[in-house]
Amino acid sequence: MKGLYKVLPPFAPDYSGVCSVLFELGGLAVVHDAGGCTGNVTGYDEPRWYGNSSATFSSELREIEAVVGDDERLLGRIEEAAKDLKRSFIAILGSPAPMVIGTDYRALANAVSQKTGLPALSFDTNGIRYYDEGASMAFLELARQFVKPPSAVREQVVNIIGATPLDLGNERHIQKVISLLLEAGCKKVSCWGMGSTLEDIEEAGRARLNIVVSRSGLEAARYMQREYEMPYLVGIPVGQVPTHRFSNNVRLLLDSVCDLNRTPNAAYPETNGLKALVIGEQVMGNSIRDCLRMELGVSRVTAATFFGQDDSLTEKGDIFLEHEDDLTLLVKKHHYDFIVGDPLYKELLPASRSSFIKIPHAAVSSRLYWDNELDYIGYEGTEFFNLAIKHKDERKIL
Amino acid sequence: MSNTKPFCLSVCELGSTGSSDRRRVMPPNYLHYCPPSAGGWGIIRVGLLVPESVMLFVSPAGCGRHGAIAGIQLGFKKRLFFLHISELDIVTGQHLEKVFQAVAEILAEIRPRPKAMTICATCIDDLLGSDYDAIARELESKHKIPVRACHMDPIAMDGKTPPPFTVQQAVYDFIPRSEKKEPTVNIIGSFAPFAQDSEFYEIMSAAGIEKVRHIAACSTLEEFYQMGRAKHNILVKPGGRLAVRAMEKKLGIPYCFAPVAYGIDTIGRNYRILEKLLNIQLSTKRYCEEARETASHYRKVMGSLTVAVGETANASPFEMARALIGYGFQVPYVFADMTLDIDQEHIEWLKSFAPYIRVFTNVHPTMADFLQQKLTVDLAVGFDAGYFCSGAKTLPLSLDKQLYGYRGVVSFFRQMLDALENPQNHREQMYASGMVI
Repeated sequence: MKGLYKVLPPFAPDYSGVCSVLFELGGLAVVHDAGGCTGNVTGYDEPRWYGNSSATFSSELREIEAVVGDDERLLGRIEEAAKDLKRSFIAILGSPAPMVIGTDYRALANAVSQKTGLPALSFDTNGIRYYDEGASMAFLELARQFVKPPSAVREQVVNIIGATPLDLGNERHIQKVISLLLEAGCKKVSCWGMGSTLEDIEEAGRARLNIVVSRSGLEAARYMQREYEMPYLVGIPVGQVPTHRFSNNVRLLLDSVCDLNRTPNAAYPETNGLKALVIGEQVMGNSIRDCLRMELGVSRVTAATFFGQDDSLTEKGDIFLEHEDDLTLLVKKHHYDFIVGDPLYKELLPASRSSFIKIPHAAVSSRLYWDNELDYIGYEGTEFFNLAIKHKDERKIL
Repeated sequence: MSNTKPFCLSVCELGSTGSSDRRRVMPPNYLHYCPPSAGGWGIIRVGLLVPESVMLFVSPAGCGRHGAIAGIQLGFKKRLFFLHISELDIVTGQHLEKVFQAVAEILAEIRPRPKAMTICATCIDDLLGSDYDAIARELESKHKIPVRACHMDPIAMDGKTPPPFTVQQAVYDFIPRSEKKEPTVNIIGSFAPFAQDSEFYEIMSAAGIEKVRHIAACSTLEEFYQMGRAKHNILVKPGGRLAVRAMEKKLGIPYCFAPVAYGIDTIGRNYRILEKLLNIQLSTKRYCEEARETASHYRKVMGSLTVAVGETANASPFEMARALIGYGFQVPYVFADMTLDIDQEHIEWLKSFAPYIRVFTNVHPTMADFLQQKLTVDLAVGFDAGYFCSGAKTLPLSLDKQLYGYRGVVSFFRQMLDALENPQNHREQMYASGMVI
């Protein structure tokens, strides 16, 4: 039945995506909820929460306030908190209950900004949509509200847009991407959401290039392309050939030679007749697909996702999974030699000759695997997937 | 990041008046901080205490995430199903129709077939005025299994029927009235039965009570129903208050409140309350003496520790603070968000004998910067106290195991010593507990 989830947990909601992007930026984020939604964010969607002083709060919405539409109490609470805690901006996020009463978050943000003198962002999140939409809203809003117009001279600076622990997992993964960019000649890498400050984002217009590492970063990158003519590359380097290609492309773009056709064609291995299904966030899924094709010769790789798809990143035959049953039906209908995805997907798959390669996705499995030490970003991707294929018999879905 | 002074009160500043039996420590009209150490069993896990039952959680996707992940961690996810509500559903009310289809599919597919079902609704259905009790009745009639509705609706937290209370009421509402009564008692309010070494069982047995029943000790629905035959309910935690009142009315089972305690005098008083309820004298002296001797022994072994007490511990933090001070320890800090009626006498005692205690509330916005305070104590009881006193060794004293009575004190001291001698990683311990807000 559509909408009935018997196996998978609910995925990270849109307000978690917003909070994840804003987490390190020194703002004051208020989830307009009764408390439980914020508990989702802090306990189950934010691996950085423990020991951190990020100011993410619940508005503690109560029935009577919702029924009478008492926004003044919320505004008063935010004003009090802004006095107590010195933060640089305020963000107001929605949740299911205020959605039902038609809360106008933009109006609230305007009122908060007037009362506190701080920039205030609003996000019309509702807990129905998933994290990727929330993260996308947040990255775009950061670009719109904070990035200063660039000066005439661009620097050897690169912005990474789209990185959150919900997609990238532990910090080590994004650090590897940053190291590759520095090796490729970047003087500075500003990774929005994981490592950058708000000041870095304000100066992001000085960069020569944006790297989009999840679909959530795409709208912000497009905005900066439109407004500031800043080019962007989409992808995460996974495996040796894709990593070489990634580094070369970065070098070309940093040198202002925006002709990607100069990228050397990789010598792909011969195809081996194997078929694979990669389930995950679209950019990560595509990056793993590149590795399987270019490094391991997997003949046919289908990317599937429960999350948003962008047409520009979608190949013919890629699949949007609307409900959990869709995945079961897909794997019943088609044979795949390998299925790559979050470990929780495995339970949905019928017993088969397929082998399952676990790539945890925190937006799906939350804290269950977010401390994992898997090493598949960058050059190491080749060895990771090679080993997984070599030991395919141990990974059968029984 | 700012160097913010955290909100705190002296124990002497805690109010003792108010119309509600639950009073917030923090003044009204503040945003709420949600520290990593917050949470408890949550509505889903409590609702699934009903043996051989499953739960259908009807909500926007986000609402059930923490409960589901905790369910995978702790092993109850296979009994938990989610019906995700769309924006269109909310506008049209179609999700209420879909509940029937979802329940039919679950009952047709899940083997063994569930013998009972709980439908859990959330805040938005409170606002929409959806009648889940009527849906439960219709489902019950259609599928010939008992069905009850419960609510995970923190939006109702400040009202007369907050969700941690109503879920327990819904759980025990499965029990049918029984005309046959047996010389047994039920323990209500805790999520685990009393530890096997509690003297409570021996004392009850000696008093002619044939069985002490607890929902978590029932492996079948039929066994759970036998709780309806008990002559008395003993409420040991405040969260079961609505449940025992409803059971008195529906099942004719009278109750008394003998709350979990760690002070020897308070425990003694609980047994006197039980004597009154059961109308029999209970032989408790030897257990009391054993506890006194053990306390004295462990106090000597551990020395004059400083201990912070938190609200997530399986205790009233104020009763626990009083007990620890009575045993000769120092309690400089208490972390508590609420004070209950039952806390008042302990708060009054602390005002007289330990007025130096500083009370922090986990939820005040200034707690976001609290770790800069670097509070130091030797031992923290409760995950919240352990988190905010970050150098301390932590005894979680979780809700998963229920200490009770004089042997509860003995066990508590053993656990204190173990926490001091074998400190655990706080983060790992906390995440493993599957606590949810």
